[in-house]
Amino acid sequence: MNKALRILGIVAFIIAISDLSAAAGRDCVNWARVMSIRPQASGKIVLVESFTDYTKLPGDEWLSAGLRDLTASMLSTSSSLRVYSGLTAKYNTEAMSPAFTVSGMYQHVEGGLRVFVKVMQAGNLVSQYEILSPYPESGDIFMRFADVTKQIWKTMQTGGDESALAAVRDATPSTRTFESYIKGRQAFETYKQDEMEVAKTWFEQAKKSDYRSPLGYQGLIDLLTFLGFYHKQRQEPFGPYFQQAERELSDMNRIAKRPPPVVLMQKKPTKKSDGSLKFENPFLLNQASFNEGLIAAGQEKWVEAAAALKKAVEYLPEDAIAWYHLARIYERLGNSAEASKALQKAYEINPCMEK
Amino acid sequence: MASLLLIISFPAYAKKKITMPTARAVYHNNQGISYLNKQDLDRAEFELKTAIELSPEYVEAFNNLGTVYKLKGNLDAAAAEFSRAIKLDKDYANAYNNLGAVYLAQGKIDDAINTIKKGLKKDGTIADAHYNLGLAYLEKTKVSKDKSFVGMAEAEFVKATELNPNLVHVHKTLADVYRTLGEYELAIIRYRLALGNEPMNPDLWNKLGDVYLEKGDQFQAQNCFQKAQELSAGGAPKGQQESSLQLGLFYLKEKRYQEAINEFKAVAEKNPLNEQAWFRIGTTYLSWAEDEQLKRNNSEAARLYGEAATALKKAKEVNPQMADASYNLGLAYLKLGKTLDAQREWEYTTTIDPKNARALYNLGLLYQQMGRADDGYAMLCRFVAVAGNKFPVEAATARQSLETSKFKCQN
Repeated sequence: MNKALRILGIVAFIIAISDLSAAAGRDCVNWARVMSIRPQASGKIVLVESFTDYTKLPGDEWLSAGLRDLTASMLSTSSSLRVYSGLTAKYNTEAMSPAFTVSGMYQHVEGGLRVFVKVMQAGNLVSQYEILSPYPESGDIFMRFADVTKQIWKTMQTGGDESALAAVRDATPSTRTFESYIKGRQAFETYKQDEMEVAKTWFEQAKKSDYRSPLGYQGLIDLLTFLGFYHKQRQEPFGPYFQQAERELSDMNRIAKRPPPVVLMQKKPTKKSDGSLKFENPFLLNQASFNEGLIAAGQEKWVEAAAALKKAVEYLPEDAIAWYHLARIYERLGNSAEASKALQKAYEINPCMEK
Repeated sequence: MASLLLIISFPAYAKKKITMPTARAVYHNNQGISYLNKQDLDRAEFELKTAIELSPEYVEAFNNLGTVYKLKGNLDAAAAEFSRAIKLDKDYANAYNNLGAVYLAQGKIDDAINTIKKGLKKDGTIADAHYNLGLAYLEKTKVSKDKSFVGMAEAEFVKATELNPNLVHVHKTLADVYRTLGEYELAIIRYRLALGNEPMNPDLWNKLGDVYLEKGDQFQAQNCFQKAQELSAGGAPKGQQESSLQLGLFYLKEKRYQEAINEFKAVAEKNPLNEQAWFRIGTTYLSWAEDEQLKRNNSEAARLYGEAATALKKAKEVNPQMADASYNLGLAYLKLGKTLDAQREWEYTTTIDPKNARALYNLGLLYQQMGRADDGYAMLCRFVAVAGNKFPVEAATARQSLETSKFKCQN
C-alpha cells in the first residue's frame, strides 16, 4: 500500500500531460449508478432498508439513513453475507431478491432513543429487537447495535468477524461525530458536484468533533479520491485530489487511534496477519496501478503496462479511462479481441467518450 | 434494574495517597466534579484528564474519570479507569464499588459481587456498596436456574439502610423486593420510610398504592393513587402519567370501566408514545366486552371488542416488541370472528416472544380448528414445554390432546 502510494505521489502529475486526446470527451456517466454497482463475491443477500422516523422530531431525520448505514456496516463484517442498502440496493439487481430484509423504526423518547430492528424472510417476521439507549450524549447506541448484529447473525445462521464488528462499533463514541459523518455521506452519495462542498464540510466537522475517530478522515478520503476519479474521467487535472487524499490517509493512520471501520463504499476488508484490518481504498489502489501502467507504457514495456492497467480496472472496474488505455495497449500487443472488449467496457461506462 | 450508584471522590475526603496530587491537579479534579454534577460530561472528562496529566498517580481523578465514562455509556473505558485507581491504591474502597457497579452493568454478575465484596472488606461502612451488592444478588437470582439470592440481597439492602437511614432509593428497592415476595406489610413499612424522606414523591405514593391494591385494601390504594395524582399535577409529565395509570388500574379492578378508560385515555392524549396507556385502554375494553357478552349484550360487546382492537393495535404500533399487546389483539380479533387476523397476531407474538405460553396454546387450538392438525400439535408441544406450573388446566388439556393423537413432540 505504501509503495503504491509513493508511486501515486510521484507520478500523479504525469496523467495531465499524457496523450489522452483520443479518450477525451463529455461526461455522461451516471455516477450514482457507477459508484454503487459493486457485486459481492458470495453469501446470503441482505437488504437493509431506511429506518422509519416514528416521532418525527426536528433534527432526528438523519437517523433514518444513519441507523440503516450503521446496521449495514455492522452486518457486512460477516463474510457470509452480501449486504446492500441505499444506493447499492438501488443499483444492484441482486438486492431485489434478498434472503433477508432488515428494517427498523426509531422513536425519540424521554432521555433517549428507542429503536426496533426487525428481520424479515420471504415477507415473514423472523426476529425483532428493541434497543433503548441514551441519546444523543452517549455512545451506548453503537454497543447496542453491535449486540443486536450478533443476534441477527444467529437468526441468519451465520457468524461474523468480531474484530471487524468491534472496529465499526468503536469508530467513535460520539453520536454527534457519527451524525456529521452520515450527513457527509448523504451529500457525497448524491455524486453531484455542487454537493461535494457540503459533504466536505460535514466530514471536516466529524474530524473536529472527534479527531481520534477515523470516520471524518475516511469520508474525506472517499470524497477526494472520487473527485480525483471524476476529474480524471473528464480529462481535467486530478492529481491534487489524490495527493490530498493521501495526506488524509496519512493523518488518519497517525492520529486516529481506532482501526478504520468498514464502509459500504469499500470492498470486503481483508485481514492482516496480526488480525487488524487492512485499509483498502479502491480509488487509490486503482490510481497507483494506473500510473504504473502509464510509466511502463512510456517506456514501451507493453506487457508490464497491460498487467498494471488490468490491475487498475480490477480495483475499480468503473474506470473508463483505464479501460481505454488498456484497449490501446492490447492493440499494441496485437491482441485485438481483448482490445475490443476493453474498449467496449470503456464506452459502456461513459457512452459519450469520443471514439 | 434499579440504577447503580457511582461514587464521586472529593479530595477533601480522600485518604492520604502515596503521591499527593499537585494543587493545580486538585483544582482541575474539582472542576471536573463540578462539570460532572452539571452533567456536562465532555468538559468533566477534559478537566479530569488534565488533572491526571498533571498528577499521573491521582487516584481520585481516575475514579472520577471512570464515573464520567460510565455515565457516557462507555463501560469498558470506565472499568479501565476504576481498575487503574485500584492499582494505584489497593485500599481504595470506592473504586472497588464503582468497578463492581460497572461489571454489573456489563452483566458480569459474579465479577461484580466479588469486586464489591473486596471493597467492603476494605471499608464495610459504605452504604452504597451494600446497595450495589444487593442489586448484584437480585441480578444473580434472575439468571440462576435453581437458587435464589433474594435473601442475601435483602440483607445487603437492610445493612445499607442501617448505615444510612435516609437512602430513599434503597428503601424503595427493598420495598420492591418485599412486594415481589408477597411480604406486603414489610413493603408498606419500607415505602412509608421512603415517603418519610420524600413525602412529595408521587412515584412512591403510586408504589404504595400498588401494594395496598395487591393486599386487597382498595380504599387505602385509592387514597394513595389520588395523593399521587394531586402531587404530580403540574409536576413532571411522567409522574402525572404514572399516577393516572395507577388510578385507572384501580378503577379497572373495581370494574369501573369507563372511569378506568378515561384515566388511560388522558395519559394517551398527553403522551401518544405511552404504550402502557394504549395497552390498558385495550385490555379494559376487552374486560368490559367480556362482561357485556356474559350479559348477552352481544352488539355492545362487539363494539367494545372493536374498540379494544383499535387501542391494542396502537399499542403494538408504538412498541412492536410488546408481546402482550399483539397477544390481546389476537384475542380481540378472535372475538370479532376475524380468525385469520387472530392467527396472524399470535404468530407474530410467538416470533417476538417464542415462550409466550398463551399465544402458543391458542395458536395450537386455532390450527387444529383450521384443519392444520400437525401444526396445532407442534404448537401444543411448544406450549407444554414452556407452560410450567402457570397454566395447569391448559397444560393437562394439551397433554391429553397430544397423547390421543400420538403426536411425537420434538425436543
